[in-house]
Order: sequence, then C-alpha cells, then structure tokens
Amino acid sequence: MSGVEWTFIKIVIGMLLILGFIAFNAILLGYGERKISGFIQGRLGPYAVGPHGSLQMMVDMVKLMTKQIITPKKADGFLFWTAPILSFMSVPVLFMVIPFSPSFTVINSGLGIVIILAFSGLNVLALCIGGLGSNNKWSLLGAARAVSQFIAFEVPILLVVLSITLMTGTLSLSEIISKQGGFPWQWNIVLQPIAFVIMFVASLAEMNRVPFDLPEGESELTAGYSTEYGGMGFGLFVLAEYTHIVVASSVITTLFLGGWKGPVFSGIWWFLLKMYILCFIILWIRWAFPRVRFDQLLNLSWKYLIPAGIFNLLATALLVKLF
Amino acid sequence: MELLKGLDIKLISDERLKGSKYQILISPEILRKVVSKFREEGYFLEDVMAMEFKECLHLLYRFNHFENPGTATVRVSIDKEPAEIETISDIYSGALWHEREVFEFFGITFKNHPDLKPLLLPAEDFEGHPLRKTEKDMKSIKDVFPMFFDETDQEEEQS
Amino acid sequence: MEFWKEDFYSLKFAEKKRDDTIIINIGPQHPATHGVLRVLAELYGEYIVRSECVLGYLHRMQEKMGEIKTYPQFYPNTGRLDYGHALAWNWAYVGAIEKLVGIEVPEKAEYIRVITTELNRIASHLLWWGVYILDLGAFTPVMYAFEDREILLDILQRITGSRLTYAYFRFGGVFQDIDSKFIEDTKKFCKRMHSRLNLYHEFVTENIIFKKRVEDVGIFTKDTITKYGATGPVARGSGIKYDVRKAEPYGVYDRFKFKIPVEDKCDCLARYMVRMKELEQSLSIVEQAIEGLPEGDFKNKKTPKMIKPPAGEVYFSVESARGKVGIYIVSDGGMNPYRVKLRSPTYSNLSLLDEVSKGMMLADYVATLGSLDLVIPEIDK
Repeated sequence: MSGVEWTFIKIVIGMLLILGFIAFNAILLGYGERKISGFIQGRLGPYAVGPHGSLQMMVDMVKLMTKQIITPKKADGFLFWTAPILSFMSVPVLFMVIPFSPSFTVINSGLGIVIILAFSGLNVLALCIGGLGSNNKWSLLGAARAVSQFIAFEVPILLVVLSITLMTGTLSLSEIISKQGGFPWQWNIVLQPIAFVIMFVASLAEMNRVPFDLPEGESELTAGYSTEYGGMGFGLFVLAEYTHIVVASSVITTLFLGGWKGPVFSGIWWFLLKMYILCFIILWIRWAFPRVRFDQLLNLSWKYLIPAGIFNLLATALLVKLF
Repeated sequence: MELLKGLDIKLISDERLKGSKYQILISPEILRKVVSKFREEGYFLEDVMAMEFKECLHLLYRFNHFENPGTATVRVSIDKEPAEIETISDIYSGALWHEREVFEFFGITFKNHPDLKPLLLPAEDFEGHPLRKTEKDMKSIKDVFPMFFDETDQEEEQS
Repeated sequence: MEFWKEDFYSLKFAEKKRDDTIIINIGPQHPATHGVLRVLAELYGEYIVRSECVLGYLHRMQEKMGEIKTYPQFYPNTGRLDYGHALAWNWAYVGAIEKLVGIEVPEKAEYIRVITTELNRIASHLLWWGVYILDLGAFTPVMYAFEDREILLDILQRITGSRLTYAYFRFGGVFQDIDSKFIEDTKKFCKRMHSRLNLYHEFVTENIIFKKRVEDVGIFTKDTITKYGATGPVARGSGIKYDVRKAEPYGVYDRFKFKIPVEDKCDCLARYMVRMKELEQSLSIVEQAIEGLPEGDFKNKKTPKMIKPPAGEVYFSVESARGKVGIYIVSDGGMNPYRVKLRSPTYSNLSLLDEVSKGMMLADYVATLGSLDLVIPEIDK
C-alpha cells in the first residue's frame, strides 16, 4: 500500500471517530451542563429519563431531529440553512490536527495551530449569514455583534499563539507538547502566565459563552442570531457551540498544560482529564456571572487584552533572543 | 393655601371628602396657572382622573409633596359639549399618559397635548368611551358633591 | 394572505424615523419586559434614538369593574392588579372602604396586616432581585431568590389561602387569625433571611461585572422624578426621602422603628441598593410586629354585612413594594361605587422611561427597565 492511500484511509477512519467523539461530547457536555447548573442552583437537574436523567440528552436529540423544519416566510432560505450546516461542518476539521496522544493524531501537520485558527473562523461566518438570512432585526443585531466580537478577540489569540510559537520555535501542536514536560512546573503556563489568561478569556469570547454571550444575549436580543431557528437548525448551532468548547479546551491544554504528558503514565487519559477540567470551568463560569455590556466587551479586548498580548510577545521575543 | 393666594379658587373642607389635605375647586381658565404654582413649589403629580355627571365632566388633579406630604386635590368642572380642556403635560410630563387615559375613557380632548392617542384601549376598531355613564346610572353632581355649591345656590334651585 | 400588518402605533412611530436607523419592537413577547409590555425603539446601531412604550396588552378595565360590582365583589380584583405585592392593593382598597364607612379595625388585625404585608413585600423584592439579575444575564440568582421566596409563600399560603393573588384582608380585619406555627415559621424565616442577604451581597452585589453593568446607568434626576410623579424605590434611589408608611402613616406603622433607605446616585445601582436595604427594614418590622403582637380579635365583629357607604369620596394610599398605591372611591350612597380610580405606582414610574432612554445603549435600556420593577397588570389595569 502506498503512503498516499494509507493517509487517505487514516483520515476517513479518523473522521468517523471524530464524528462519534463530537456526538459523545455534545451529549456529555449537554448533560454535564444541566447537572452542573442544577448543582450550582440548588436543583436536581434532569432526573426523569434514565438513571439520574442520564438519557435526557438522547430524548432531546430525538426531539430536535424530528421537529418540523420551518423556514420563515421572508427569510432567505439558502442563507438561512447554509448557516447551521456551515457552523457544524467546520468543526470536525479542527479535531483532525489535535494531538490527543502520540498515536491518536489524525493529521500530524506541521501547521496544526494555523489550521485551527483558520477553520474556527468559519463559525463567525455561519453566525453572520444566519443572522442576515433570517430577515429578523434581532438576528441582524446578533450577527453584527458576533462579527465585531470575533474580530476583536481573534487578535489577542493570534498574539498569544505567536508568543508560544516564538518560544517553542514550531507551529506543530505535537511538537509544542513534546517540548513541555510531564510535571506542572514544566508546562508552558508557568513560562507564559499572561498568555494563558489572555487565551482563556479570549477563547470564552470566541465561543460566545457567558459572560461574553452577546450575539445570543437572551435578555437583550431575545436569542440573537438564532432567534428564528428551531429543531435541527438550532440543534446544529448548539452542537457546534459545545464542540467549540471542547476544541478550545484542547488547544489550551496543548499550548499551556502539557497535552498528553503527565507525571506518571503519560497518555490520552491525561489529555482528556485536563481538557474536561477546563470544560467544567467554562460551564461553571456560565452559571455564575452576569453578561457584560457590548462596549465593555470591546474595551476589554482593545484596551486590555491586546496591549497585554503585545507586551507579552515583545517580552517573549526579547527573552528568547537573550537566552 | 398660601401658595395659591390671589387666584380665584375655592377651598372646600367637608368631612364627606376624606383623604385629601386640601380640596381646591377652580374654573378651567386658571387651571394652568394653578398647576404651574404647584410645579414651582415642588409638588409632584399623583394622577389625573375624570368622572361624569349629568351636568358636567369633573376632572381631578391630585398633587403631593415629597418633603411636606399631604394630598392636594384640584377639581375642575368642564362642559360636556365641547369636552375640552388645556393640557398640563408641558408643565408635568407625567400628565402625558394620564391625559391620554382620560381622553380614551371619557372622550375629553386635551388641547395642545403633543401626542393624544389611546393608551390602554385598542387604537383601531374600537369606538366609545367606556367610563362614560349611561342615562340610567348618571347622577347629578349636586347629589354626590353637594358641598361644592353654596347653600344659597341650592335653596334658589329648590324654590 | 397578508399575515403581517403594520399597526397604528408602529405607523405613527415610523413617521419621524431617520434614514440611518432601524425600528424594533421590544416586546410584547420579549424576555426582558416581564410580561406584555411593548416598547417601540428606534435604534442607531446599539444606541436608542427614541423609544415609546405601548401599553394595553393586559388591559381589563378594572375601574369599570369597580363601578359595576358591589364593594365586596370588587375586592378580590385588587389582588390581581399587582401579582408581586397583592396585599398592598388589598390594604389600599380595604383601608379606603373602612375610612369611607367608618369601620374600626382591632389592634391585632392591624398588626397581622403589617406582618403579612411586609412578608409579601419581601417576597416581591426577592422576585425582583432574582429577575433583575436574570435580565443582566446571570441565571443562578433567580433560583436562590425563589428558594427563599418559596418558604415565604408557603408561610403566607397557610394563613391567607393563596400564594400570589391574595384576598386576605376583610373590611374591619382579616380573614382568619394567625396561629403559633405561623409565628414560629416567620421567626425562623427572618433568622434565615439575614444570613441569606449576606450571601446575596457576596454573590451579586460585589460582582465586578454586575457593578459595571449598573453603575451610572439610567440616571433619573430629582426633577425627572418630580415631573413624572415617580414614587417608591425609584424615587428613593434618586435621593428623595418619601415613603407613605412614614409620610402619611396608616395602620400601626407609626409604632415601629424603621429607616427609609435613600441613595443619592440616581442610577440603577442606587435603586438596587435601596431595595436590598428595604429587605432588611421589612424583616425588622416583621420582627418588631411579632414581638409586640397584642391579644384580641382579628376582625371587628360589628362590621356591617352590607357595605353601603354614605355619599362622599375617599382617597387612601399605601406604600407597596413599587411605590405609592392610591385608591380613590366616590360613593353616591348606593350599593356600588360611582367611580373607582386606581393609582398604580409603576404606571408613573414607567412613563419617565421614554424621556430617559434617549441615547442609551440597548443593554442599558434593559438594565434600566429592570430596575423599575415593572408589573404589567398594574400598569394596564
């Protein structure tokens, strides 16, 4: 078998595994979110379907899939339905390059981080055309917010990634991990604490999670860009959102927390453990904070995160040059 | 009331009128002057309301003071045809909504009101003024509020 | 088929539209309006150029109902005006009739009225607190508030027979006496609430995002308040020390020691702080009232079965959780009133928003709307 064919088969198998992984994660995070929010709010959360409500998400999936597909009368049908599909389509590609463990990497690309940055940007395009295509003023406002929010927070992320790249001298995610050690003090978070904070905050904003969920902004924009969506259209957006949480946690784990490496028995379990802890923190934040205002959100990026990111980049460059 | 000195008002005190510190009966012409005085003195507008009698429409403007509490009720009677009175919404902006409410419930037109349209009732496909009384239910103002009229007036009418 | 028609208000509002703006309907089905308030807003980007409230989606013509029903028949309707603080409206109506007819209320009944009304005020403020933070985008506080409110509603339910739309007071007293379990539960609740309030402050008041959202937002100057006749926490948040319980005391409120919380900042945070401090004051009133609860009848036995007041008028006002509630009744000597006028506080409080909202951001508008503590049935009457 030639090398090209083998790569192709590997990608197909990887793709299928990733789709399964996405579905599994959506169910896990959906259930986790409900149970965690229930715990934080002094409620039980889902309880009726299956033991401790564990089958609730399956039932919800069936509900979302079997719902009638409705296109609003004055909406642009093509744009309206392209948006959720596009939003979901870009997601599997992101997982291709994430190194879960030395053997669990679908494409070991030398440009891994660039691929992630490029394809995660497709999501905002989906929100934008979804908001435009709905022909609803609330959706339009939501789409406008999504675009300016994305532009504002893409810059600090790029700056952070550049700092890490300068430090490690590579764009490949596997190599970034291999340059870190197994113990917490050998991780990049120790060398780059400012970068970690910037990355975490900016990722929250990129994912449209509370306290930065302005494009949805339920109490202001009813549901923002997803106002007109129901059934599976809405379901795909939610699926994409949960997957983006997983991707962002994976990227942070890779860049800052040593990836699959742990003090003992390095392997995929360490990666998943770190990733799910980050996911949990992201869910936790959602249920504890109010939403910021739009000008405050943009100020946070342009006035604080970007100057801090530039400072961090310059400092990193200087230190790399010196040592 | 010190503040309304020099204006043609009639202060009424009667035990059948409960709940207001001052009851002031005025004619529609000096309404704006009286209300301006209240505004200068720092009173706030509690509400504006109307009621219908056989002879007239009777409007009540209730004022109160934050530091020196006690309701002051200004009463105005106007003719049914034409049911018109000057607005006070430029003096008290709070009257904007109260006057719209009175307009739709009683059909009283407030002259110079900037935006006189229905507030609570449907703006289209609705006719009538729900708080206007029918012939049968309507009472005379002299039966309900005999204290507004001097005793001499009443005697004359009876004779 | 034409499925959408511009209505009277939108057409009228659109007449003055600029070319570079869009007009949106906030409500009548919108999560932030807490009911069926509709606001027409002209937006320039995120900024509101002008806005106009459209009311009447819940209009029931309560004043007409008051006229065509007898005095006791109309009484339960007062509980349906403000679902948050129904007992205040109960008291306003009952108090007006008592004043008009001249019915005396036994001392114990007055104390019971104070206790239940203040408990209801706490429930109302708790509801507001949770929902206001929900407006600002945090999902959890509303659950905390409901947890405490639930205990309170259970306590009130045992005595009054309902959970939300009370009709507990009677002309000359209350419907039934309170028992030892009620007193015990209330004491326990007051004790619990003091520590819960600390939690609330830790959890929400000191949150930096919350502070940034409400500070210097929605400024109501003293003049605006006077012009529009706003009362209650909205006025007190603008430095006006006016509370009907102190200004024109009714019932036995003059016997209790409590402060009127006042804040000078005029913004949403000031109104928030006023309400939070009022919770403490209400708890203190309840504790004092339970301490000094006298023996005696809970209802005046000499109350006439048939209420037929002499010709005349009466105006009676009480302080509800939202401001000054006033009921004005004209009697012509018959079985039903000649005219009933209901003065609802949120009606005046909301009317100032059209003026204040000019130039606000949409998110600030939602924050300001929430800080008014609106109850739509009360506004639409």
